[in-house]
Formats: sequence, structure tokens, C-alpha cells
Amino acid sequence: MRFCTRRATLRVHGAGARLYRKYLVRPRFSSTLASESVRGGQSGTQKSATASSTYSKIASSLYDVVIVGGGISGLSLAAGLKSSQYTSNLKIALVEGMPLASAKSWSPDPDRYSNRVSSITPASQRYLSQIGVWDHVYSERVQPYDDMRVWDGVSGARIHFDAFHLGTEDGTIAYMTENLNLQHALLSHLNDSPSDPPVMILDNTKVEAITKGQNFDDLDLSSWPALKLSTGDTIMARLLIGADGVRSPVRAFANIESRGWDYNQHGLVASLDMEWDDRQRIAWQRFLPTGPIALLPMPDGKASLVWSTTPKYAAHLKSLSASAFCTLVNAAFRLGMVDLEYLMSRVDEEEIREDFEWRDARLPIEAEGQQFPIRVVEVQEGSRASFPLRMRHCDTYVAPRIALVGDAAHTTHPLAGQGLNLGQGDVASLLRVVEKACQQGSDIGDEVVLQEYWAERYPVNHMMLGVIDKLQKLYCTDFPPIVGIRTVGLEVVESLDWVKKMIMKQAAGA
Amino acid sequence: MPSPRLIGKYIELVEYHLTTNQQRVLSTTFLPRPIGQLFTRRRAHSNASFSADELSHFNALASTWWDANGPSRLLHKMNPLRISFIFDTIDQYALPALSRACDLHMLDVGCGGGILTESLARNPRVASITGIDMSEDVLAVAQQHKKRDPALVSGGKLEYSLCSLLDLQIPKAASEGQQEERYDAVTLFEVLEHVPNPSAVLQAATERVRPGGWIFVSTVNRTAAAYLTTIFVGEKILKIVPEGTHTWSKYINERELREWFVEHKTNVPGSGEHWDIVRSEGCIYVPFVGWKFAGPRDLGNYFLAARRLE
Repeated sequence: MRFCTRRATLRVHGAGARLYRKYLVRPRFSSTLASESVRGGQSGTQKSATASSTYSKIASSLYDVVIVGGGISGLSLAAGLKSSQYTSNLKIALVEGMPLASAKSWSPDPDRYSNRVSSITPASQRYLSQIGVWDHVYSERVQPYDDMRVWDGVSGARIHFDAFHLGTEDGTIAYMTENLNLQHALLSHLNDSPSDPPVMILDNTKVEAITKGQNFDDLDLSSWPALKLSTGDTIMARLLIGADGVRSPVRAFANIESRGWDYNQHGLVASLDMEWDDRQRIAWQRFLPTGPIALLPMPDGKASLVWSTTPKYAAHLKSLSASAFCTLVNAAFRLGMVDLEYLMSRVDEEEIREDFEWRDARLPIEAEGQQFPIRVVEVQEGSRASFPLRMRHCDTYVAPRIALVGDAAHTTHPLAGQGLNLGQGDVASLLRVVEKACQQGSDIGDEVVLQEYWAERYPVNHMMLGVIDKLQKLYCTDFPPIVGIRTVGLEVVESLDWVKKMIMKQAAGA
Repeated sequence: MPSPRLIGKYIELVEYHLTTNQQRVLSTTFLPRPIGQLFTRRRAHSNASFSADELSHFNALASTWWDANGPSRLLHKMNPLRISFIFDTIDQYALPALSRACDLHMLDVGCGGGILTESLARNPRVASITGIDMSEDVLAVAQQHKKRDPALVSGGKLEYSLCSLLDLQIPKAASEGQQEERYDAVTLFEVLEHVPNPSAVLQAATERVRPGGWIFVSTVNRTAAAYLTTIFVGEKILKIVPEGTHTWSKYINERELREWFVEHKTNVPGSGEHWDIVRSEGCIYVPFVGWKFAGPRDLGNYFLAARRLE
């Protein structure tokens, strides 16, 4: 073994100064399994004379990070790892069961918007900017909003969040973005930014089984998860990331229990056209006893609907014609509970329309656009869809060589628009932890290293999930004493600017 | 009720008066332990049986060394602190030629199961790392664990050796005019308080560092507070440290360590060596959080970095 003698140091400093300086600036984690060319640049590194023969046979199936799930959380983590100077050398594979080609080559129709949209908080947007993904988003299809009006359907108590008035930093509460827009941006970023080695995106590939690796004589990989893919290959991961949604197979493999309950509600989504574009950028949410209805602004006078309601109503709303559906959406924002319930029980579409017009005529004209949103006139064909709502939270997000992010770790009610943003927070935190481990030389799959990520995110997520759940329980009833209490509470908060500021800061992910 | 400060003063006074001038470890500066004798079992005063006790204790811990949730959890949690101490110190205090050095050849004395050694082997700034330990079972565990990481197996940076530092040969110079081959940095984390003759170990360590290189030491002060935290609370009450790991009488005060360097390694005529203590920090373990650099350096656990100037 050659040591660094004083003369050797001087020699390197003199002749190899440029090479030395290159590595002085950014020492990179030599990927486990990177090719010789990556490590070869560092002067003085001894090539192993005793390289394991097993290793050379299976090296191509070993990955530093395997991300299962090509949704926004998984892609975002891959993009983040590739953007960071300390982790860009890692050998990463991303496995996704669905084909990603359509998302990658997505060229959207300017008149049509996808019904799967998310509210991106400033914190998430900052993270996506930082890793260079936000530049690839179609910004004309992103709608920032700076005003939020929430009110109680039963008592009429209102609360108004105004970013400008409350003096928050960038004046934006959140950015409404289609999920496809984000996915496309992430895939473009991964495609465009050069990195060595590039992320292996294995789309249209299902994970058939996850087991423990093998223990060869000279190499013991029994702690490494081995994934059997539908292509027939088997890959092994130093760190396996479960970004595979609510029914996460990675979580099942890790034996991590997920606790929670189902709400007796379905979330109905739709893409809507408003009567005219008032450019007000307001997000509306009304709490009905059957569940909150939210109208979120999209560009060009369009809007996105998220209506959490009973499964029966959700099915009924999906079965109506477009115009009757729009009438009921308008009614849900304007009418009293008794009237609304009556309208929802009607089947004849002409009757629904007439009844609503009669009642609407009795509402003050100036309230439109101020107390409730302007009229919805059209719903995009095929955009009505519903999904069951549930709350789930895992006991722990990590196990040896396994980490869970996004929906695999936690699921929540959409009423606060936090689901995707909690996932982005997870991704940012896990990225920091992996970065630190690479910088220091720790094993990124080491449980002690990963536990820092869980320790950082669990309390935050737990609190947010708890608050959202309690809000849902509080507002999904018309029991008068509860209505009274929540009305008083809401009106008190409405009058206290500092409390509203605090709430907005929390919701923005600060 | 006297103030805590006054109580602290009383304890210091008692400690001073109870310690004697017995020659034990680092010349006259390391003073053992009538207070220690009150709290620990009397051990035979021979080097062999000290080592035997320690060795058997660590051999018994070998199988659970790498269990992150087991008896060695505190060691695992200390790892990031150790690594950041090494590299932050080098970056901050290195002579210009060595700042941001990416080519370090290191020696880890008392590597144990290899928690620190493996991390250093993976670190991009380390060119080679040799880990030595005297406990056979523990080193076997380290070798076994090394096989679990393809990066370590194929990287060729990590080597283990079952020997004592005193027996580790310094490779002779290849030819006339060249210097003997020495290490850029030697680490002695949580070692000095387990060996019977820390001064010899420290002397041997300094001999293996080349000019411009570093020694990193971490150990525990021999104070009442250290007894309270590391032995009473750590071993007996909370049981987060395996019982019998620490012996209070073998702890070394930070002042004693510095004085040893001043006496033996600073401007000593004829030796040609000159050492400089550049950094000394106290650290504490915060339950549920981890190890942090905090607290005075003469109270509990501490880290010390010394640099060889020539």
C-alpha cells in the first residue's frame, strides 16, 4: 500500500495540480458500482487486486437506489438525486408498472385540462425549482392563486385567507397544476439533464416479487432487497424506495403496518368551464354536511372541482348529464342545506334546472364572485371521476435498506390540498439524508441513517394528518351544538390575522 | 443550600485530594482514582489482566455490534459526529497544501466492528483506510460485515488487521533519501480509556503520522459528572451502554491529554517533531436526538484533534 509521503504530496500538488483542484472542489461519492472511469480520476486510488469474482458477475444488476413507483414522488426523488452534486453519481433505477411514454411526450390541448390536479404549495414549488424541474413545467397551464374563501354550509360562517393582505412572502397561496404537467416536467428534466450514470427508467415493468438477496461466499447480499421484474431480470438495491402509492408492495415487504380508516366519502373530480374569466384567482371551499366541495381556479376561465361526498351522491352526480351536473355544482355553492338536499334527490334534469334558476334569482347579484364563485357552465367530457377517500399513516417510514415516501407512507383527505405536498416534503427530507450519507461515506441503506428522515418527517406529517382528519370530522355533521362551536371558532380565527398568518404558513409548508 | 457551582468546586477539591501521585499511565500527568475505587471493582494492577477483561467484554459484544437497535446503538449514532469532526477539522485547520484533501491514507486504531472504518472507506476523500483491533471476535465481525457491501469489497480501500498499534510495523522507506511511509491521519476514538498504557499507545500513534498529518482522539473525562452520565445513568439506569464497557479510573482528562502533548510533542529538542492541538470539543448524547458537540470539554465526552506540524 503506498502512503502519501511528503514528497508524494508535493508531487501531486505540483504536477497534478489541476486534477487535484478539480477534486478539491467537489469530492463525489464514488458510486458503489460505478465503472472504473468514475473512480479512475482520483489520484492515488488503489485498484483492488482482490476484486470479488461474484461481484464482477452480478455488478450490472446491483443498484444504489431503486425507486418503485413512477408517480410524482418517485420521479421527484430521482430528479433530486440526480441534481445534487453529492448524489449524482449514484446508480439509480426507477420501476413503474404503467408506460410513461405518453407522459413524456405529452402535448396538451389548450382547451382541455386533466381532472387530476394538485395544489402545489410554495415549499414544494421551491424544491422543484431547486432541482431544476419547475422550468420544464408548462407555465401557461399553471394557475397560482392568492385568495381562499372557505365557509360553513350549515351556519354560513366565513373565513377569508388573503395572501396579499396577510403579507406572506410571495403573495401566492399555492399553484394549481395538473399532475400530468408535473410528471411530464420531471420526465423531461430526467431526460434532458446529462448525468453519469443516467437514471434507468424501467417503465411498463411490474415488480413481481421482492425478496432478500443471496449470500455468496465472497459477497453477502442477504440484506439487500432483490426485485424480480416482469421482464425476467432481477435487480438488487442498496436502498429501496417505496413510492408506489397506497397499496405499496414495498411497504408490505418491509412489514410496516399502515394504520387509519376509510371515510365514508368519495372524492369526485371534474374539469369545469366557468361562465366568464373574472381573473380573480380565488379558491373556494364550502363545507357541506356530506363533505366539502372545492372549486380551484385554473387558467383561462376554467376550474377544477374536488367534491368529497357520499358514495351514493358521487355515483348520482357522475350519472347526470353535463348541464344538470353543472347546475348541482352551482347549487352546492349557493343554496341552503335543505334546498340542496332536495335538489340532489331530484332525478328529472329539467326540474333540477328550473328549481335552481328560481332559487338563484333570489340571491343577491353582487354575491356572485364574492360570496360564492361565478357560475359553472360546462363540464369537460369524460373528466368526471371519483375515488374513495381514506386516511392512512405508517408507524415508521424506514426499515433496513427501505424507505417509504409519499402515498405509500401516508394518505389524507383532499380538503386541505396537502397530500402531494407532504410527499414532496418527504422527498426533500430523504434527499437531504441521502446527500449527507454520501458526503460522509455512510451506507445510504443503513437504518440509523434513514431513521433521521423518519424522525424529521413523521411528527410533521402526523400533525398535518391529524388536523385534516379532525377538520373533516368537525365539518361533516349538522349536529347543532357542534355547528355552534365550530362557527364561533371560525369567526374568532377570522378576526385574528396572526392566527390566519400562522395557519397559512403551516399550510404553505414552511 | 449551596449553589451548584459551589458543589462542583467541592467535588473537584475532593477529587484532587483523593488522587495520588501514583505513576500509572501518561507519566506523572494521569492520576488514578481512589474515587474510582469506591465505585468500581478492584482490578489487579497488571497489564495483562486489564487487557483480558476488556477483550472478553468486547468479544461478548461482537455479535450485536452491527445491530443498529442493539447495545451498540450509541456507537452508530456517534458515527456522523466523528466523520464531520475529522473532515471539518481538516478543512478548517489544514495547512493550505492540504485543504480539502481528497487523498487521505488513514489508520483507525481500535476499529471494533468497523462502523467508522467502513464509512471512511466509502468516503470519497479517503484513499485508503486500515483498521486494527485486538479483539479477534470483533474483527471477525468487521470482516464479515465488509463482505456485505460491494463497494468495500471491490473498492480496495479497506483493510483490517488483528494486531495492537504497538506491534504495527511502520513500512521502511523504499530507498535512500525517501521518508518512511506514514499515515495522513490516525484515529483513536474511544480507545485510550480501554488500554492499560495510553501513553505508549499515543506515542506509537504519533510516530505513525507523517508531517502535516493528524491525530483524532475521543475519550471521556475522569469527572464525577462523567461517572454519573456514562456509567451510572448510561450503564445502570437507562442501560443504553452495555454494562462494564467503561471503567471510571481509566478515563483521561482533557487537560492531561493536552499536557502530554505539550510535554512530549511540542518543541522537544532532538525529536524533530512538533505537534499542535488545534481543536478540542466536548460532546454530549441527547436521548432521541443523538450526539452533539456541546458542553464544556473538561466535563464528559470530548474529541481532540492534533496536527503534526513537522
